[in-house]
Amino acid sequence: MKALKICIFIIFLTLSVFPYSYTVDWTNVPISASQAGSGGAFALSKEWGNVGYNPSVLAVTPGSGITFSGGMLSFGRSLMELSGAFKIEKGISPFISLRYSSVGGFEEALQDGSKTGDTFSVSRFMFSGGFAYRFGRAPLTASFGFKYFLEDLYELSSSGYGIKVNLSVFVGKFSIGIGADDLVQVITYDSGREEETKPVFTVCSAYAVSDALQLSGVFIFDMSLKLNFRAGARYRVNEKFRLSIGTNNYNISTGFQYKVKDIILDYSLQIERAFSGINNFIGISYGF
Amino acid sequence: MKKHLIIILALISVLGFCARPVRYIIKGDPSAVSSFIKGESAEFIKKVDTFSIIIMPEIRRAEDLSDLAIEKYGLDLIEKDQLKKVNFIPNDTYYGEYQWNMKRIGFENYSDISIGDPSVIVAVVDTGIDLDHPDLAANLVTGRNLILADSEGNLYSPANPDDDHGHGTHCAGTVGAVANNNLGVVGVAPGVSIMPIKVLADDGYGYDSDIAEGIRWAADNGADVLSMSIGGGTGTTILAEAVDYAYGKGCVVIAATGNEGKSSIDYPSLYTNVIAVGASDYSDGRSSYSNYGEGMDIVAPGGDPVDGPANWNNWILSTTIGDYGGSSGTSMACPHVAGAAALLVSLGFTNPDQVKLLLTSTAVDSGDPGYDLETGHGRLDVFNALNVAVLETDPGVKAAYCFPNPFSGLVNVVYKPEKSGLISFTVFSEFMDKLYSDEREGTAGTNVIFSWDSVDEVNGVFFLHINGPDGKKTVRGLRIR
Repeated sequence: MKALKICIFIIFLTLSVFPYSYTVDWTNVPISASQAGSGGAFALSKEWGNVGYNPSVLAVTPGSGITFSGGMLSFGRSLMELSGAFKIEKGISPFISLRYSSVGGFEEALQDGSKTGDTFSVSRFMFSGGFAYRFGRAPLTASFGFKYFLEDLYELSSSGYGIKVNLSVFVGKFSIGIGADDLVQVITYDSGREEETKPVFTVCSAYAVSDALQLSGVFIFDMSLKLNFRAGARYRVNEKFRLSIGTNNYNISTGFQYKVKDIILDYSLQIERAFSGINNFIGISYGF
Repeated sequence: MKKHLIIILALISVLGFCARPVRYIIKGDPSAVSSFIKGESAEFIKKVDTFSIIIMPEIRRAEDLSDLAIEKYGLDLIEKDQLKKVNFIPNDTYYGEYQWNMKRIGFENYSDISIGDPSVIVAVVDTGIDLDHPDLAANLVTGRNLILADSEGNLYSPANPDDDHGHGTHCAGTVGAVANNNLGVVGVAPGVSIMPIKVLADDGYGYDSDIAEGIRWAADNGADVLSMSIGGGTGTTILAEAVDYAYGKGCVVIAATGNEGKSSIDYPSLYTNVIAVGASDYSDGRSSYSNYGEGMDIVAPGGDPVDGPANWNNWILSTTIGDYGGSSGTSMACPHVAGAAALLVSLGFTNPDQVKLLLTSTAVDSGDPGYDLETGHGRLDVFNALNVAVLETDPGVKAAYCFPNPFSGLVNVVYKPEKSGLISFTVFSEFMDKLYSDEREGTAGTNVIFSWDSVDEVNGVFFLHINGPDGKKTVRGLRIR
């Protein structure tokens, strides 16, 4: 029976679709330190830092909590996120996230091939918020999120907004999530130009092999059916210590989590195969 | 006079030349200067009065270096050594007032680098050339007349490609009218030689068979570049094979797209081995008459009389039979590109594909961002093309970098491998999605330039990744539009 469930899980994974990267998000580079260690594959994990993945799970995540994650990525990229999920009555869990990312170290160069000697950087700031909801006692949750973002692209700046909805179902050790990102996402540049991005529909799944071991994974397709994938495993050594391993498009990652009372510490690293770059993530969460 | 001019320009190019490492000027106590050079692994160039001139291993802003230089090493001053250059403005009578097209493609800047080599020959495959024109004669080499008779049946002499229409003379003047002779106009490449190939009769018409014969004759007799401001009708096998023949012999073949304003370009410009040239107006947009569509490569100044009141900004001034005159059309645009190609050949770029890449990858984007069917890769910029060409042969590039940066359409990555071998080039999005790849054999010590057209991408950060025998290098590029 267990083998059958694993087979169903694997077949499901092959049919899964997960968000493709879009202008102001980091779906291919994990956002939170906790996710990074397992390749960003645990979109259905019940943890407070899941705002950037599938926030509908926050409706069944125990208690309230805030999470800070910082990523020091290769080639001048950095990423920080402060997020919080709060439990209130009637199954409603509001969530909020502030995210800042930047890329530095660009060398300015002219059309004729000469370098000016100047360098520049770009940055983005995003605010997102919404709420997750559990439908009574049913193993079914949903979320609605709104995001507003600002981009500073050297000589160009922009602002935009977008909507995200998600749905999750928990059936024993098996869970499934679906969602739609970038619904009505509009970016307006200070040059007056306006861009609309197309919505991205998502499906993800996870399976708990045992109380200690969890598997999760996704396959990712963009609009041209280019294949991407993520897969990860988490193993809880004891009540305080957890190990993670995962891969994100052949970029292997690993990490650990350590709990001290209500505080959770995370560290992860990811190897970017193509760049030979190493991304480091640290995170701290506090539950209340 | 011409020889003197070439010598002067050669000296200018040696003195002011812009393979240009970024230099810094520092000043201070000798021990401070010495410890700064040693501590920062700088290269000492020379001393000027109390100043020392150095090159840093990495290009940095002088403002950023200032604190380091003053606090750590006790220097009194650090400044970026600013680049100045001679502005060569030719004294040709009509240059200053009328030849906006030459200024647009950067003549006053690129002429410091090259005006072409007399050993490089541009064949103007057209109605012939006024062989006695004082602004052209010095640059002409032996050509050919491939037509039997004019429109009234009078027989031509095969050895006499004299122009009896005017179109070819106008094109030839744009390619390479003599510079700095106090006379008339200046051409794009006044230092190269021009071969008159008469394939169109006095009424401006000619058969594909004659054109094909002219192409083959030019290719067999030393032409490096073929400028064909001709078009119309459909393609023929004889013309296609002649183009391939010339291309196979290493000729850069360039043709005008046609003047009907339609969404398809004429033959021979539509052939694969031809650089298709449309016309741009004074504002760098597509001239209203310029044919466009699949196969479009680049635009160059061609004027557009319908743009507004009659003034020289709407015309291209060049030589006519015994005189000078204005005209507009893709026929006028084509010889601009031919002249530019000849300059690249003069610098040693003899592969037609490489010449095409240099011209298109350095064009100034016009029309819709990135490549588009109306203006191709953009408007010809000879200064950019020659600078990048020089960069290709410049041994001074120590690390990969991309240009322009930020970019909106084509972006290039220049890289000099220390070892020979296969070099791969891959473009990733900021999120590690692989978007494009290319590979090429690299030679140790010789710069390699890869290009990528970002037309289908949104604004944002891209990683341009080189993987070669020396290892991996990744540069950051920003796309904005």
